[in-house]
Amino acid sequence: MTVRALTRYTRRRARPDIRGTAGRWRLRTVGMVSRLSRPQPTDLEALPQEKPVFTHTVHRAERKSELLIPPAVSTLALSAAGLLLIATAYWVGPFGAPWKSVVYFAGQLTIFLPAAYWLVISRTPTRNDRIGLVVVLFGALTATKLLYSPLEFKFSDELQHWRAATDILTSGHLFHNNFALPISPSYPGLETVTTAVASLSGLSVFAAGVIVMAAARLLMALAIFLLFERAARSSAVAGAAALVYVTNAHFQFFDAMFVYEAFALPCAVLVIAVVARRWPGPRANYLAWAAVSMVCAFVVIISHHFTSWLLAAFLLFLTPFAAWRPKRDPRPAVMALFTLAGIALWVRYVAPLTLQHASPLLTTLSELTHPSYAGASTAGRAAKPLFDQLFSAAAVVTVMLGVALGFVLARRAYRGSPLALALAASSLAYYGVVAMRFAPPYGAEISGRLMPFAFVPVAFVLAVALGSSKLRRLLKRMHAPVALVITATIFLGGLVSSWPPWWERLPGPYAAEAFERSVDPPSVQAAKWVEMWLRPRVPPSVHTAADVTNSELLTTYGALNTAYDVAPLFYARTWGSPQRAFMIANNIRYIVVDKRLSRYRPLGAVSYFSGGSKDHLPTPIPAGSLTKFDRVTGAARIYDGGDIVIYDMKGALHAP
Amino acid sequence: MPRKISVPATAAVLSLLGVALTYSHIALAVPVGVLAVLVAPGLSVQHLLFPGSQVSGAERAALTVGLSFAIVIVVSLGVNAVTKLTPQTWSLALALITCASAVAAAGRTVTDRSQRSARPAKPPGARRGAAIGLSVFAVLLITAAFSLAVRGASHLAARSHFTEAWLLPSTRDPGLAVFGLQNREGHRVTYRVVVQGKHRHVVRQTQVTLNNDGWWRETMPIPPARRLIARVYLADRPTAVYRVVKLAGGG
Repeated sequence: MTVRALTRYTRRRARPDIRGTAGRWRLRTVGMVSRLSRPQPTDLEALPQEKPVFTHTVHRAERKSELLIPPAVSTLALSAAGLLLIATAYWVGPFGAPWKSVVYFAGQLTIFLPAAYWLVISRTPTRNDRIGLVVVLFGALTATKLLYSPLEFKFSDELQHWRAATDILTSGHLFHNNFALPISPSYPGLETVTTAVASLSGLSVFAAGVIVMAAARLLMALAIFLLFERAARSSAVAGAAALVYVTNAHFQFFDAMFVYEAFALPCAVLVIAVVARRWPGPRANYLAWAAVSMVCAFVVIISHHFTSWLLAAFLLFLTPFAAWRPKRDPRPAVMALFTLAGIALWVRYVAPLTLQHASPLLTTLSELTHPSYAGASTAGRAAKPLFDQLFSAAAVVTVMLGVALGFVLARRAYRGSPLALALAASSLAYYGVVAMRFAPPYGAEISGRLMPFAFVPVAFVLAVALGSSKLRRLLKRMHAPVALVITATIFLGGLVSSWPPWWERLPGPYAAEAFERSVDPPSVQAAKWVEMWLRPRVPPSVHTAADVTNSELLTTYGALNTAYDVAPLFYARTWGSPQRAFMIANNIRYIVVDKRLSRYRPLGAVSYFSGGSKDHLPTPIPAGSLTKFDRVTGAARIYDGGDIVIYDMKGALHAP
Repeated sequence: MPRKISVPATAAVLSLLGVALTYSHIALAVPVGVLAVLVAPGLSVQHLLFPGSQVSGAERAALTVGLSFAIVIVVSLGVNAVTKLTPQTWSLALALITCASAVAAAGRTVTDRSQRSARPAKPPGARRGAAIGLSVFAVLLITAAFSLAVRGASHLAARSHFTEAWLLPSTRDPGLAVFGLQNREGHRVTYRVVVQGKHRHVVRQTQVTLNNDGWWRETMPIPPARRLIARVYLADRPTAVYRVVKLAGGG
C-alpha cells in the first residue's frame, strides 16, 4: 500500500469517531502519515503548520531539479561575466573612459539579476539549488572587492588588522600594542586564524587574510540561509531573504574587508541558527549542539565587541518569544546569559579598553535624544551625483515601506515561529538605524556600521513581503518584473551609498586625503622604511606628526605612534616657539611631510588632518609652509622620497 | 571504507600533512596548510559530535568552517599561554585535536550504524556534462577578470617613479652614519652621491648604478660637528639636486 493510499484510508477511518481518545489518536496518525507522504525539508524545526509565504516551494524542497543546467551553475557563469565587466571598468578607471561607470553597473547587475530571478521569481529551484545560488552570489560579490585591490590591502580598516596580524606572526604572541586601532589586539579572533593560515601555508598576511575572509563569507552565506530557513520553514523564503541581505550598503565592500566585524558576524549568525534549530536525539546530541553554540558564541566574544553585544541583545530579545510560544524553549535565555557572562569576563580581564572604544556609540545614542540632532554636517565634501542620490533615497524609502509591509505579513504568517516573530519585531530597528544617520558627530558612521546587523531581520521581512500571495494577486503578471525592479533598486541604492564613495568607486590615480586613492607607492614605501629603520630606535611614547593618510600608513605599515590634530604645525608659515611648544607638549619628534598636499585639494575629507581642524580651510597648503622644516636649525632631514620627506626634530626642539 | 569514517580520516591525514609539510614548497604548503587550518579541525570535530544523518550538507559545511575558526582560536589562546605561536606549535596542536576527534568519530560511527545516510544520486550524464562545461567556462572568465584586475593594479602602481634616500646615525656606533639609496624609478638609474660635512667639506663622493628596486648602503663617520649633508644627483642631470638628506646636530 502506498503512503498516499494509507493516508486516504486513515482519514476515512478517522472521520466517524473524531471525538474521544481514539479519534485524537487517529487524527494524530492522519497528520503523521500526511507529513510522511510528502518530502520533508531536512532539519527544520517542527512547528505548527502555518500558511507559507512562498506556497509553491515549501513541499518541493527535496524534489530533483528538472533543468538541464543547474541554476547555480548558470548563475556562476553569468556572475563570472559580470566580474569580467567589473574588472574591465576597474582597469580603464584610471584612464577616464566615459563609459567605465556604465560597464561597472552593468557588471554588478549581471551578477545580481540572474540570482534575483532564480531566488525571488522562479519556482523551479530546489533547496540545494537555492543554497548553491546563495553561495555563488555571496562569492561573486565578495570577489568584486578583491578585484578592486587584488595585490594589497588598501582600506584603512584592513591595514589596522594587517598590523595586528603581522605583529602576531613576527612575535609569536597575542595581545600587542596597535597604535592604529588600540582595541583590536584585545579581540584577536580574525588575526589568530589568519596568522595560523599564513604560518602553515607560507602565504603572506594579505593572501591568508583574503582566504580567511572568503571562508567567513562562505560561512555567512550558509548560516544566513539556514537562519532564514529555520524562521520561515521554507527554502524559498530563505533564498529570497539571503538575496535581499546582499543589498545592504556594507555587504559588498566593508563586510568583505579584512576586518574583525566581517569575521565575527557570520559566527554570530551561525550561533542564532544553531540556537533556533531543533536539537533532536539523545542527551549526548543535545549537549553537542549546546557545545557548538557556546564555542561559536565564544568566537564572537573574542573576535568583535560590538557583534558580541548585538548577539547577546538578539538572544535576549528572542527569549520571550521562545518562552511564550509554541513551547517553552529556554535555550535563547541560556545562550544570552552565557554570551553576556563571556562579554563581561572578556572586557574585565582582557579588553578593558572596550568601554573607552565604545564611547562614540554612547555619545551618538545620547545625541539622538537631543532635540537638535538633525542635520549632520557634510560641508566641504563634494556633492554626490544625482544618480547616486536618487538610488540611495529610493532604496531607503523602498526598504522602509517594505519593512512595514513585511512586518505585518510576517506576524500573520509565522505566528508559531518564535524566531520569525523575533526577526519581524527586530526589523523595526531599521527605522532607528536610519534616524541615527542624522545624529552628530558619529551618527552616519555608526548607522553605516549597524546596517549589516540591522539588515538581517530586514532581509527576512522584505523577503516575506516580496513573496506574499497578496502582492502576487495584486500584481498578477507584473509581480516578477516589479519584484526584480524592487530588489535591483535596493541593490543599486546600497551600492551607491556604501564604500567606496562615488569619487573612488573605480580605482584611479593619486588624490590627496582620498582614502584608498591616497595609498600609493611613495607613501607606502616611506611607511615601510619607517618600520625597518626608525621603529627599532623609537620608544612607543614618541609621536610622529603627519596628515591623515600618512598617519594611517605610519601606524600600520610603520608601527609608529602618531599625534592627533597636528594641523597648526603644518599650516604655520614659519617655525617658532608656538610650534616648538606644541611638539614638546604632544611629545612629537618626527614630522612626515607630503609635498603633494601643496598641489592637491583634499578629495574625501574636509581637512588634510585629523581632529579639530575646522579652522583650516580645505585648500592646498602653501608650499612654503611644508618646506619650512628645511630651514629649522637642528632639524635632521633623514628621509627624502621625493614627495615624502621625514624630519627628525629632536635637535630643533632643544636648539636655542 | 565507509563514508562516515573516511571523512574524519581524511581530516586527520590533512592535519598530519600540515605538520609534515611545514616549510615545504609553497605549491604543497598552500593547499595543505589552508585545509589543515580552515577545514580539517571542524570536519573531524563535527563528525565526532554529529555522526548520523541528522545534519544536512549545508549545515555540515557551515559547522566545518565555524568550528574550524573556533578550534584555531581556542588552540591559539592555549598555545599563547604556554609557548610561542610558531608553524610547528600551531600545526602540532591542530593535528592533535583533529586526529583525536577523528579517531573518536570513527569509533562512534562504527557503533552507530543505524544513522547512515544514503548518498545523493548522481545527475544524468548530459546534465553533469553541461554543468561541468559551464563551470569550466566560468572559471576561465573569473581567471581573466582577476588577471585584468592584477594588471590594472600593477599598472597603476608602476605610474609612481621615485628614489628613496636616507641618512641616519648608526645604532651600533654613534660616531657612524648610514646612508642609503633605493631605486624605484622603474628602470636602471645612475646616481652621483656627494656627502659633505661642515663648511661644504666633501666627505664622500661616488657614482652608483642601481637596477629597479636595487639598493645601496654606505656607512661613514660623522664629523665632530655632527653636520652631514648627502646630495643625490641623476647622472643625466648633473647640476640639479635630486634628493637631499642631512644630519644636523640633533639626529
